Amino acid sequence: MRRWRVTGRVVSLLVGIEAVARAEAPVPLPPVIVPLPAPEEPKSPPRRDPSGSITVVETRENRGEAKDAAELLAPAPGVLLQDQGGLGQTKMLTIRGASSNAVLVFLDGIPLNGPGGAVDMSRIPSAIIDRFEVLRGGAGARYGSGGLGGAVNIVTRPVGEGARFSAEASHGSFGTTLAQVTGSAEIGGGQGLLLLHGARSDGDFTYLFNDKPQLDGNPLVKRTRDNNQAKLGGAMVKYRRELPADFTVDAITELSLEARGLAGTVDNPTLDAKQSSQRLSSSVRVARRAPSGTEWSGLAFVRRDHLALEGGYFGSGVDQVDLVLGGEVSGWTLIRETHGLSGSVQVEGESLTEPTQVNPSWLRLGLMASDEIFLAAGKVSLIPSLRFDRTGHFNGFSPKLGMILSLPSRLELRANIGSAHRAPSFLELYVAQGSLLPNKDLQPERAWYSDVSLNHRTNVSYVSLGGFYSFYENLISYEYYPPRLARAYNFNSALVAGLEAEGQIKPHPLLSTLFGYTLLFSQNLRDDPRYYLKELPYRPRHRVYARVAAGPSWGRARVELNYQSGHSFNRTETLSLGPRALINAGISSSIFSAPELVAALEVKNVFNVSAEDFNSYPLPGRAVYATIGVSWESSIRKEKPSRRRE
Amino acid sequence: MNMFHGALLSRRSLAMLSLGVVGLAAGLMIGSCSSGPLCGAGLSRCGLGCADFNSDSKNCGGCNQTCQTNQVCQGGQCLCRLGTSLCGGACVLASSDPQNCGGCAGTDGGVVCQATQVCELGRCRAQCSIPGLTACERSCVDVTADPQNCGACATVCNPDGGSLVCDTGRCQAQCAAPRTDCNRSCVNLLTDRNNCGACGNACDNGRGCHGGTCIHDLVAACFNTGQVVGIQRDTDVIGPLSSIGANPQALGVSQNVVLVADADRKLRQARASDLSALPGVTDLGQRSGDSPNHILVDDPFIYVVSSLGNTLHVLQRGPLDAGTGQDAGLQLAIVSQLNLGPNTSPQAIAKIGNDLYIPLQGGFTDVSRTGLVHVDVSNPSVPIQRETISFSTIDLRSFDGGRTDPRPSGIALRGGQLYVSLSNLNPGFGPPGGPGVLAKINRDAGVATPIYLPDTCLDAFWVASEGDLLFVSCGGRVGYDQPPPFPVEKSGLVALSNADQPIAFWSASCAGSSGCAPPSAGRFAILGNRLYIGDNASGRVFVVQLVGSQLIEQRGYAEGGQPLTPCPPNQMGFSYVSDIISIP
Repeated sequence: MRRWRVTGRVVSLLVGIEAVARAEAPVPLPPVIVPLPAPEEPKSPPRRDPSGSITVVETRENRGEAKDAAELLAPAPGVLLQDQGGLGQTKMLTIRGASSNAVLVFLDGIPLNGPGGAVDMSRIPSAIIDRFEVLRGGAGARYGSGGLGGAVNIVTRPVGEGARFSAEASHGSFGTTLAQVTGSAEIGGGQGLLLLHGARSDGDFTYLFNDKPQLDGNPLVKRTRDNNQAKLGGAMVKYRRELPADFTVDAITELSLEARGLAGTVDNPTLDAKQSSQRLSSSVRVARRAPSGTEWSGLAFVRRDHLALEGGYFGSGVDQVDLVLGGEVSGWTLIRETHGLSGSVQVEGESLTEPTQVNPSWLRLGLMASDEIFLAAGKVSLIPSLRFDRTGHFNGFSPKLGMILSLPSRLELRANIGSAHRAPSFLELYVAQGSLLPNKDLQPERAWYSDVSLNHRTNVSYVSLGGFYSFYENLISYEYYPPRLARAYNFNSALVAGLEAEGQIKPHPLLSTLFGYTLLFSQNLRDDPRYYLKELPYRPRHRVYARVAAGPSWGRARVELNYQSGHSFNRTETLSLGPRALINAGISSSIFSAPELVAALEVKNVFNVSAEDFNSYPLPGRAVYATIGVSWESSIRKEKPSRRRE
Repeated sequence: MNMFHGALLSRRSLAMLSLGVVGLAAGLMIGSCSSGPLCGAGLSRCGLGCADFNSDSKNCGGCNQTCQTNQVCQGGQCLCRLGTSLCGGACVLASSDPQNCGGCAGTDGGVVCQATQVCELGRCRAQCSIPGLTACERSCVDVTADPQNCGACATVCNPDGGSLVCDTGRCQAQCAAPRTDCNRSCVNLLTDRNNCGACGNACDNGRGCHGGTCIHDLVAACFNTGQVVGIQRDTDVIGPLSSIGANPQALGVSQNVVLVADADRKLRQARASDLSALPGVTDLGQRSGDSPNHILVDDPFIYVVSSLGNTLHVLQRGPLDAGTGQDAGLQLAIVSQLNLGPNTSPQAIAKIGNDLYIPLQGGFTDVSRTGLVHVDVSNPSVPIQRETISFSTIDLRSFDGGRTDPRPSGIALRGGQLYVSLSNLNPGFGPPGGPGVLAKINRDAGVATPIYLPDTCLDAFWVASEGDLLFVSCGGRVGYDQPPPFPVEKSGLVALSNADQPIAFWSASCAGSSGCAPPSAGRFAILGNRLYIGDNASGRVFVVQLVGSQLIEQRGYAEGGQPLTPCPPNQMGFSYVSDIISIP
């Protein structure tokens, strides 16, 4: 199930919907409740950035669909996932045209951005995800350095209440198998959860290859993707206990292991290239919500990320360990019903051990203060905020002003304007990566952004339309160097603007629809006639996601569309990838209730469309997966009011 | 309540929303505004166009500042042609005047040559080195056409004001065909750059005279700035920069049209006379791996290899219509394409009869496909891939006894014999792991035998032949892992005799010049006995001349001089000469 809280601006679409509604009124529609999600953590964008353009993508409805984390994020507008093809293969995340290393990603509040600044979403096991909280637009004022395009907080599955057990297994094309087992129970006065998951795929899908693309009529050759296999596994342990005096303690440990082949491009496959990684993260959070409404939270965490690469472009091997140790204290209080003050202090230390023996390390400090000023009897909220970050020797301020305006007819207007920055990453600054050379003289990137959206919510629907405008400057790019090499420099600037629309409509208990649309214009503002005013590469102008699900729980069918327009993949707009529309379809059946049995069948890329997200990295063709799951929970459960700020 | 109940938009909300939309639209428009044409590196805006203030005779030092007809534009200044300088109000032959050698004596860097020296190309030398020039009164002059030194120094054809001309070194009543009398000098209007096509029609902007038309003698590709630039032979005058394509990687020439293959996988065309872009762009590939690396013109066919796309393109030039090549560009059609297989990385092309030979560098770690592949193009529309000659039999003499990879990069034909330069690098395109090596190919036996280059040569990069001689550039060991300027050692050029013996070596170096970035010799072009060597570590071109058994640096840091700098640095401050060719 998903809940949608997003800004938007496309008036015509909304007006169109309203016009249709008026024409059809007063035909009553049955009341359907859109469930609210689990409580938000202190680092959740909905709490931390109330006026932000936020999409919450909940994953419970996708159980049985054999989806990875990137696929689950597809509905969010403004977000673009770039897939190198196949389960366990690299999947990069961009938001509002910003690069993947300019999007912050957190796992229950623990920063996942590694030494290169980007997060490979394929390394986030879908089994542990309860929901994504996607903040679009500059996130610097609330999350600090790195969030030029936005921030994503991944919330793991809750511990629940009482004893529960669930298991799910999927098997399908390309030798793909996924499995997970989850159990939770009361332990020591609290609730504990243990989740084990694993997946494997041969990734040996076929694709059509044109070995002489400049010859008209040259027959396509069917090839098999080799060295594209992946194995993933891991575990998650969570424990939650409520203490006297309104204290709550949450402890989480997550371990993810993976090993994959790196297939390379279709022209130059790398049959010997391999990657393996292990991520261990652990956190303890102590929170208190006083009866007065004041809240505070303290979080301590550690993350150790080990990445090993060998063969292919990595030659004899790259072996690096990224260690992050940090903590954050945040608080929120309401003063005289007119000010919601919040603040946070964040301290992190990060060190990287890598083969070139540079082994950089640094300290990060973040100080944030914000006020939510309630005006006009709460109909207007003005939310100024400011954050200071010191990352290594880089200092940066990130201001932001947000506004929420409650309008008649369940409409809400949100607007934001601000600035964010991104300190260069360890790899950009200090560590050579094959043919990519570092540059210790790099300076932080900066974004100036604004957005406005109009949202409408009823008991059975949520629709949001909005627009955004971002200017990125001092961007770091790798410039060609003498033969075979490139070096990082601050030389790019870009303008990105567009529209975002999304919605969820449940007109009937047996029917639900979900859609997201992104219109994105980008312009390279680099002062060079070859590139000036050209669109940024790999930034499709249109992206559409739509999903319709219908039927009762014993036989519910669904169909999904994932479309993106053609776009160039070089800076001069002379090379391009064509548009593509991928259709997924599936059916699931839930029988019995104690235990509940679920069986599902999923067909991905129904029409076997040949497509690429990255040039020369084909995506899989048609694939079929069957899933069976069982879940059970004890009938004795504590009934507690849910904690929501709304 | 249903989902649409009470959902009418209020005027206020519409007004607020409209405001936001207008604000965003205004922002978009502001951001989209272009304030005029942008000019590439080294170019400045002049009205609606761009000009090279350094080299453009019509915009010398500034817009519309036109040089006189007897002047050329160099360094943003109108200078007297052919190395003469304005000294004390008079143009003196600073290129050959021993009293004002290199400029006015005492100023502009000019000097008075010692009594035993001659002045050649603005530098005091022990003797004249340029073919065809003779030392007269310590000036290097062309005694075949100079009426003041006709046939010999101080032999004046018309000491009393007669009308004799100097023709092939003799004072004659008139010039013998095909030469023409131009101011008492008998010149060939087809080749004389001061009288190209007609008396007094001097070729400006670094051009030479080819068949009576002013076109560039050499063209260099500036990879980082997306430009090409012409160079005049002997005088080494650099022409204006011309923006062509994204990142030019390989050059060729056909029918007075310069072909430019760039990183956008396009084969572009430029007019050889001024390097302006011509219509007619040929698509060489759409995949990211395609990277055109070398062009071989065998009129009417043009062969292009793409190093990462692993392909050979065969193009055919269409018939030449009137004006074709000057205005409409060449009509090129891809007649065939051959995929040489994954991880082959073809680097260059040589042609013998109906056979192409292409060095295959191999994949990053997969060197199983490394070798020299033979492609039969007896029917260019159907190229047939034949055998691959392996370099695995060559002892690469690894410095540390470990593995090195041959990494062939260049190929040349001399006397029916093929030679391939082997970079001999550590695995994964690491630094040189062994000596620079030439592989001599026995095509009949399908065997390669090594020719080890001198210890002063690492990373044998490019190879070309001229007559009986073979020349190999050595990239050297370059510290690319360090911040620029990179340290470079053992880079230069080797000349080999017809017995495959190294007979001369030129060391690419700064020669102690302060602030100089060490050079790394890359691709080069040969014009007569002068070699123009592109720099892989900057936008420079070094000029070296073979004199006897010595390679003498003509343009470089030796003796306090300077190399040519045809390619300006980009915004990050670096550039490199990705290719350089001579135009017949």
